[in-house]
Amino acid sequence: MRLALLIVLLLLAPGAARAQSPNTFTTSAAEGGPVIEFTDGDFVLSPGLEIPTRGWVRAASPHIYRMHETHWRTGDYHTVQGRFRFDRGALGPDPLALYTASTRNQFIVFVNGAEVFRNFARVSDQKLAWYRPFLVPLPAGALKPGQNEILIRAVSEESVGVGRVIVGPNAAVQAFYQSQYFWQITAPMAANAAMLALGGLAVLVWLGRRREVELLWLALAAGLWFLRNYQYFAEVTPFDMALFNALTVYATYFATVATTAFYASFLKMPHRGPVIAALFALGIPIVAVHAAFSLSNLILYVPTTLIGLGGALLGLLDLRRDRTPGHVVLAIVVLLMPFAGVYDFLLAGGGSGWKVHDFYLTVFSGCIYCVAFLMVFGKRALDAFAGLEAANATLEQRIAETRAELAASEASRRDLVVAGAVASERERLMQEMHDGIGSNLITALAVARQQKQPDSTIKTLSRALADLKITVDSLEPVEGDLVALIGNLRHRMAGDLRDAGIACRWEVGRCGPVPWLDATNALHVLRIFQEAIGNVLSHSDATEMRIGCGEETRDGIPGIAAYVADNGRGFDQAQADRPGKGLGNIAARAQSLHGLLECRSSVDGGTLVTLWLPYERARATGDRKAG
Amino acid sequence: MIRVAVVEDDPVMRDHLSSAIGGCEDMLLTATAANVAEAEGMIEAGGYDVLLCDLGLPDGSGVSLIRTEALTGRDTDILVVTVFANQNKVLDAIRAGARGYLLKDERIEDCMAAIREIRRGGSPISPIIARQLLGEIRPDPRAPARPMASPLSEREYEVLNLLSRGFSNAECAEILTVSGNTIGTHIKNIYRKLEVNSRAEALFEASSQGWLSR
Repeated sequence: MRLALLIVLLLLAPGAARAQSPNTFTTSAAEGGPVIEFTDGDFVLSPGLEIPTRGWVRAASPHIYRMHETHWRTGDYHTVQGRFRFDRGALGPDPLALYTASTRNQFIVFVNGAEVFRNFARVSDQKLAWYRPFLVPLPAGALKPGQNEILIRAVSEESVGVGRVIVGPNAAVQAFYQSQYFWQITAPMAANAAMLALGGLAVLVWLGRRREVELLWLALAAGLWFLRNYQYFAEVTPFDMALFNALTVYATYFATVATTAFYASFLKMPHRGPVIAALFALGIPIVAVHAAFSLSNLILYVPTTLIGLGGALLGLLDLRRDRTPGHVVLAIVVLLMPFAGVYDFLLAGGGSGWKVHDFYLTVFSGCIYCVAFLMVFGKRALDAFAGLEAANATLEQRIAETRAELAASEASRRDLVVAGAVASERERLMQEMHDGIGSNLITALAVARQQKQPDSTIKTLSRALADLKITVDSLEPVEGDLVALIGNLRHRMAGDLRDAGIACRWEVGRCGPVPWLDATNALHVLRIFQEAIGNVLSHSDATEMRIGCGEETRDGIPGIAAYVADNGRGFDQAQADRPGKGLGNIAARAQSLHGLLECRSSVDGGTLVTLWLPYERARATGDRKAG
Repeated sequence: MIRVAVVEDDPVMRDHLSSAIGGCEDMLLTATAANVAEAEGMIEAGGYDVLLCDLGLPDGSGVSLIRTEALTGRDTDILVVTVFANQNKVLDAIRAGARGYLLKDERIEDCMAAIREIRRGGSPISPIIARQLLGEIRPDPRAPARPMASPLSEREYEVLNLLSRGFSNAECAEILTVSGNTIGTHIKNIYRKLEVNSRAEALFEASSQGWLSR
């Protein structure tokens, strides 16, 4: 027994000797003097409340005893004491402060044997300080010139250790502390609170839109990530440390599966249902094995990382087809997540040589994920609103169009009714003229011819019939086609012209429709031309007659000029105080047409009768719309 | 010898036509009818080349008689006998199968000439009727076009266009450098196509309204 003690003492001797010398540190300049961070310290695992005089081992600082390395059981108390010596003279004259982080979990700080700080009020406090930074002002009275000793005693039911230890001017250390506190505690807390709120929002939205299952996955992922991240900003464990620890570790796996499930749902991946179910189911044996055999957390983190990499693959595939901002942000987050997980794992001490106090990434990823998705969802909602507005606008426009169409069709229906009435009245008149006057005239003419009645009788009857035919022609709907109207007259009179031995030349140019050429006006036109042609037949002794029409603008008003010209004997206009036979009559008709009638004739020079009609008749001159 | 049958209710007109036909060496009056009932029997019996048909008969419309005659498929030329040759009546008759018209007040020799002309293959037309036909062939471009069962040839369209602009057959012939007979033939063909189309349209209407069984 003594021998054994001696051997232990001999083994510890160099360490003990070294333990007397100041510890090593790095120095950085700050306002008010240098700031030092210890790179080694003297450590001892001791269960007692006393400061042990022996057993100190110099080791690199920070110095954490982890559960899987020490094979402790969660729930047992483990105590470590860390001692750091420095020369007061190496630091500036300003009041000093100590910064420590990851000193877990309950700890007391002594300066030269005097207690200056403890982070717990009662021993029963379930303190959670594995990650938390602390600022400990060092009272001037506790310090002395020359060598000073800081001792940190940490107690934990879980991994225990003394983390970073930094000493320097109060102002500089406090500033450092504040920035660390913000990035390590405040920001993760805010991000995770926001994430939880967004998860709640997702549930609310899902209640309104049950088909968007990804909202539920998102909410579940948010809840699980919150559970997993709670350790980062919790000050005390909310319940039993072992259970809290287990939940924290296991939540990582399920949160990753839920996130992947959400992402697969969001991307509408085929066969996602069975895959998600299988991944959740796989979690149960993993958790069971991990819990039963107290295995390393790696058994959970490796499949978690693989699932994360699967999600990242989905992200890569999605990036290839959809580059809209929401999709890109989501894809980037899922791509980075597994790497962030590995980084955080190493940071937390998964591998030696890593700092234990730095900025963790995964603690923010859930929140970024939620924000990214809600961006996509919000965009979708905004698009839907815009679509709705556009649809409303389109609908309104359609309604307006339909209303206009309805009004137009109603107007045209009314027009049709009027036109129908006109047509039916016209038909009745036609029938009347055909079967009544027409037939009687025909019979009379036939009888007269058979009985070889005097020519004058036959001519009178013929003329009456010809007049009637022209009246009938004027009733024909020609849609303002003056050419067809005059052409038809010429067609009617072709036999008479042939009998009179007058060759007829038809000289027709391009003419547009005359919109106001209704039955009444058509009759005026026909009568004018009937008269003019009749004059040629009866009085001119002409051998040739020309009938024609063409577009002509008079006084800037576009219109049509139609004419009848013959090469007959003509008359002296100067001597004729009245126009030729019937010309006065047709002049009056021309006037009522708002047209211009011209008659030019000279002895042996033939006669030219021209009727000019405007395309548009000014309303002021009295537009007659015959029904 | 052109065998002619006459359907006309006015006895004066009927006699007038009959005696004129009888007076022509190249024509033979085979039958006359004064109303639809008589005319139906006459059509059933057949035996004529040209049918002159009045439209306003005391017991019905001449249009249905024209259709009956047309549907027999005989090589009969049907001429409508009309007072005014107004477009509605003439076009109805042409759609039913007529190939031309005679004006009742036309001098009788012109009537006989028209009978010979129709037998030679030529039909008469007025500018207003030509215009109306043109409008039917080239309808409102906005309206959905119903494909014509027998579309007009380019030349027929050209002829119709000229006629609708008031040119006489002779003038059309001169412009198109063809004979006057050719123009008449074109018109007759246009009438034939109008009849075919009107029948196709009637079928179309009927089938689209489900009147015809599959």
